[in-house]
Amino acid sequence: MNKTSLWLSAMLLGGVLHAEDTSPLSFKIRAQGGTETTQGVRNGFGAGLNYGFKVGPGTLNAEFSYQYYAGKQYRQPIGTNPFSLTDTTAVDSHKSTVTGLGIRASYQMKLSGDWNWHLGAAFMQMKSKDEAVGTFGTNTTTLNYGSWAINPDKSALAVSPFAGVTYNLGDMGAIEFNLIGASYKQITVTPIYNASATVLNQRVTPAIGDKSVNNIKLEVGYAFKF
Amino acid sequence: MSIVSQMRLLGKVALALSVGATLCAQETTGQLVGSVKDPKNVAVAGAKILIRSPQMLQARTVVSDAQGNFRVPLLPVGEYSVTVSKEGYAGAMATNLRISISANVRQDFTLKPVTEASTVVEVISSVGAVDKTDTKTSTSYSAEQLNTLPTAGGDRSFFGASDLAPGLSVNSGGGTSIRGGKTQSTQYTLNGVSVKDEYEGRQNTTRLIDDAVEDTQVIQSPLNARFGRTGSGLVNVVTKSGGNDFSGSIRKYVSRDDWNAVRPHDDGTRSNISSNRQIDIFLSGPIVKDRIWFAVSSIQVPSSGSTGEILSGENPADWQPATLSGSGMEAYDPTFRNGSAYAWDLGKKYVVGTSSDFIDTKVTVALTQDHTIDFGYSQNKLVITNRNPYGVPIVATLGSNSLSQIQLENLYTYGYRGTLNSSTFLEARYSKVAGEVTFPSPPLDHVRFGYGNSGVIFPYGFNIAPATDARNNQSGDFNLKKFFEAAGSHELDLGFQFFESLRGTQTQNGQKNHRFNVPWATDQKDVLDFYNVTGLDPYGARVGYQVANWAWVLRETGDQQATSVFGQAPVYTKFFGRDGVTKNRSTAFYVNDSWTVNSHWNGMFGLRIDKSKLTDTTGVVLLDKQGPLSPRLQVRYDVDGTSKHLFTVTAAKFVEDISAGFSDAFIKKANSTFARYGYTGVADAAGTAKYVDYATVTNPANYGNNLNTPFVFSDVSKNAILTDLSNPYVIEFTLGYKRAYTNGSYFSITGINREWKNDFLISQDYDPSYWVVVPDPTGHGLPSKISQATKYGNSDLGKRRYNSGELEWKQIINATWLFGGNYTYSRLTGNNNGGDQGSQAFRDNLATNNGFFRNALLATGKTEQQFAPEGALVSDQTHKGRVYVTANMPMGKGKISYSFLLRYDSGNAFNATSSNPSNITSVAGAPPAPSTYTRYYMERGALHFNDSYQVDSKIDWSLPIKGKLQLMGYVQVSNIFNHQLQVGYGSGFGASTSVANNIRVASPATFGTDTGVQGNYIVGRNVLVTLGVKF
Repeated sequence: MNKTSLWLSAMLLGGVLHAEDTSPLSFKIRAQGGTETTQGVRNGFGAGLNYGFKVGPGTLNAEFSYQYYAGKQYRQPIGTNPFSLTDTTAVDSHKSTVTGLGIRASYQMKLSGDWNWHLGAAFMQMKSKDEAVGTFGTNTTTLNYGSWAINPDKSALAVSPFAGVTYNLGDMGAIEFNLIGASYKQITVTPIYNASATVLNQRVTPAIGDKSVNNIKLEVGYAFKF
Repeated sequence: MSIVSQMRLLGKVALALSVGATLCAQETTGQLVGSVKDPKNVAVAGAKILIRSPQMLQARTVVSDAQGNFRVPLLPVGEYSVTVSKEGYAGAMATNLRISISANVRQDFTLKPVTEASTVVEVISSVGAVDKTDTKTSTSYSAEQLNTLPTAGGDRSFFGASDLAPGLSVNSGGGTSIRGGKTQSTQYTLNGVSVKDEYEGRQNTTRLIDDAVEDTQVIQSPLNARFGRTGSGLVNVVTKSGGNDFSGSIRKYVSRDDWNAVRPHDDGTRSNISSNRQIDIFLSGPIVKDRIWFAVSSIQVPSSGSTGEILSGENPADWQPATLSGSGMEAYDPTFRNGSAYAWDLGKKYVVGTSSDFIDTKVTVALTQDHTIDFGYSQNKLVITNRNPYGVPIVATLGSNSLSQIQLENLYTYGYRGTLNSSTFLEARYSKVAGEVTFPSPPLDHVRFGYGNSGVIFPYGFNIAPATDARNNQSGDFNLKKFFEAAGSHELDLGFQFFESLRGTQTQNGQKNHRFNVPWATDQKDVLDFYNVTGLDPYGARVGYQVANWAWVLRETGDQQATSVFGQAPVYTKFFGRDGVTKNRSTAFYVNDSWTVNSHWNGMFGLRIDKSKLTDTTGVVLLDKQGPLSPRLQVRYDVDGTSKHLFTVTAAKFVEDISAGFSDAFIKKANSTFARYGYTGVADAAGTAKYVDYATVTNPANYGNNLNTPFVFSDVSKNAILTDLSNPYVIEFTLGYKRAYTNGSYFSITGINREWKNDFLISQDYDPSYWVVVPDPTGHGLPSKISQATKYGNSDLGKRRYNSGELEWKQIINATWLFGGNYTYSRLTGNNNGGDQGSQAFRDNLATNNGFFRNALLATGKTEQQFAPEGALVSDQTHKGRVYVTANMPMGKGKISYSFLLRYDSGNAFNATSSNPSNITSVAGAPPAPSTYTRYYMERGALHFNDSYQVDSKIDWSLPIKGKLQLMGYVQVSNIFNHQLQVGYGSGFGASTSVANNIRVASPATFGTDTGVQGNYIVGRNVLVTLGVKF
């Protein structure tokens, strides 16, 4: 957060709080977990600043939101390769993370008592990053067919629908439970063998691609009411 | 006197508060403010406000001023009740008012006329209002909170609080960074007194017991100008002082190995013996009621010992270097001679014993109602028998178990606090940390020699007691506080502080200016160079071996190429320096005004001036200059005047000190000048070990070649060049919002921007300005030599920036449930790790990155991106979260609480680097140029280890037994789901030699794999139990 954003945030928040006695603002934190792991990525958490507009019988929520999925480092098996290298003499290591910034929009209506239900979607620019380290051949190998240490990233807009319920805890906060269809593109880094490469240590190079990820995750959140 | 004048006087009287039994400086006390009004919101002047607390020697009374306001500063940390009375009105009372360290708690009262009141005294269950005049950003934890929560390692003071608080990160070197600050700049204070080891740059000594703690405070942004010497933050602990009633506790800790989960690379062997046998004892009470209190605490740890046995492998006849690297110590017996066996030692048992004791005492005396003094003394005693003070492992002293190292660390504090008049208060404090270490000095028949990591033979038996490894300090703090009205109310602090760290010469260097040792393998070349004067093969290790004929020389195996299996000759080093004490002194003057303009606006302005003085072991003043000015500014806006919505903007410049940890390399001179001689005693034939007696090996006459000259000499003091050294500083901007609820709940969001300037630069380069002439110190007329110097100065070349957002909350759901926690998103970037690489980085004074041959590397075409790129620094931790839920259940006068705590920590960043040829051409007559440099292949910190998370739980209880007597204890189960995440793995990159400038992973290719290190996994499920009684 730089100085400019600090000041802009203050002006925005200050203006909103001056405007109404009972603020429609809330700040939410969330944890997200699922059963499916893709390239080491499974669980995450997020936070957002939410504003509720009274629309019809319910409330239209617009949330400026941040999402983070932590990845766990893993090594791809070297498998068959033209150099007869093994996992002990070569490396294809990855550690992925996915971060998102965008808007979560939902419509919320009363269910019963302090319970509400809501339905919405997250529209987020998701950035996938892979810390990839590869060596086909090691220091002890006179010949080296390719080595790299890179951390490329790719960004794409993703839409993740969600539905859930909230339980109000007085004027301080509320607990939120969601099922979300988490959706994003995940970057891939794959070693490619090129037999025609004239430079020996460039015969294996990393190719960057991506793949779509869609899976269901459970969210638990807490909203701090302003 | 007019009514108005009387009211003004009453107002001043209202400020003249009770000194009570507080301990000392502002950092250890809190303040109570409030107002008294009637139901129509009209000020009630002249109301009596009675303040009571078990932490006060005497109850105090102040009177509300003409505006109905009252203020009570300098209150001891603790629980308070406040009663307000006024003729014609029903009384009011607030209870359970918690005043934390430096807190400015507000409690307003509304008095009803008697005719309207249905009760005589209205009791308010108080939570205290938000502190609007707070002049710092901090997170406070009461002893009760730390008792309840499953803190890291069960610690309930410095480290438990540091782990819980937002804005702090622990880097891979083990240091604690606050808001991106350098770990060695983080300050630790106990009752307002620094207890940091300035040399190590951390708090590593037992100074308290957890049951004596009253409050622990983590100050992320030390805005008040009274805080100084840090560009990071500080952790402050205040302990109990006693009371008019006797109270105390005794607590036993139990932690058994077989209760804990089996970890990766754990052989599964489990012991049912408690691995934690600590007993904490605390007692406090009156010596003279209302006049003198005491508090005593102690830690008792039964002596422990580990027994070893001398096996055949430790017989010198069987020694090989591979085994020596682990244990190189042996006994020497003067009757032992060439060719004798060590049979008399085989099978012999030895014990390495450790015992430690800690005691802390405090006495507080109320001289009068307005003047209080206090004294404190604590001692931490560590006794290690059969101690090898420099090496690991601790090894045996054969033939004797009586040789001990005794380490005492004493802390003395003296404090005064008094009311000079109705609006003026004075505090003064002096403290002294005096440590001493007594090393064993055994008789000659128990001489020990050996191979240590640094190749040191310990001089035991040389009839010398090594110099004390002193890390002492003394400090003073004088603060004058004045309240006055001028366009609002002001709280003005004027003060003076000094802090002086005293560093004794390291014991392994320069005892009596002599040292005898066997260099480690890496020093072998030196030995061989010397012996080459006999005219044999210059690389002939045999030369050395032929005369390397002392008892501990290894036998030659016959394979003359396998040099690593050969032994080495002893070496004699003569030091020309002088033992002494270095001094790092910081003095400061400050002024700080906390200004309450009205119910909406608060401000603070402070200014601090620091001065540093460095004195070396010979008494020469190396530096004596004023540092940069340190202004502090804070503006706080309360949107509706009810503390519901608070916005705070701050801007500050924090000046760091020049610590002993940083200056150690150039300030210490005891070992700076030396000459080294090789052994020239009688030699046996090549290939055999020669055993000589102690007198022979420690006789300087047996060292030196035919020319009687040293083979190497050095004068480190010549190698250090100070280049206008001054204090680094940090510019900080913050913007915070806090939402406070009427039941004491809150949540806050703060954005922080920090940037370091004028930071230390330890540099080496390849130009004549870095080449110094070192003369022969021995008087043998040897030619001077040219040596590579290191410059110590300041620069903006090293970049360090911190940007973060901190979220913190406490939600009191109901009387039972509490939901709290914090989350920090931060980025610490740049190319200046500032000594964070390891716990001893400053001590080692490494020239790295932009300080390592910068111009020479640039001249060879290399770029800053290659040798000093920016990126995530060592202390960067992008995500840190602590979320807890607590249920408190009353049990009569006691209670049981259940807590669950989720920890989340980002993995540490690491680099893709390798050693590459520097291509710097050496100049004839100059020191050799470095042949390699560290090449970065991506931005700094581009790679990360795995994030980690775990859930801890704790059940804490205080159950009434009889009267005041309660059964207390807790069971803490950390990592209850036994989720042993792998947070470390092979991450090494190899030197790029076969293909220049091409990144490679280290060989074998363990990158990203489990390298068999248990520490690469977070600790599995483990259990800590305590049980005791308190009254």
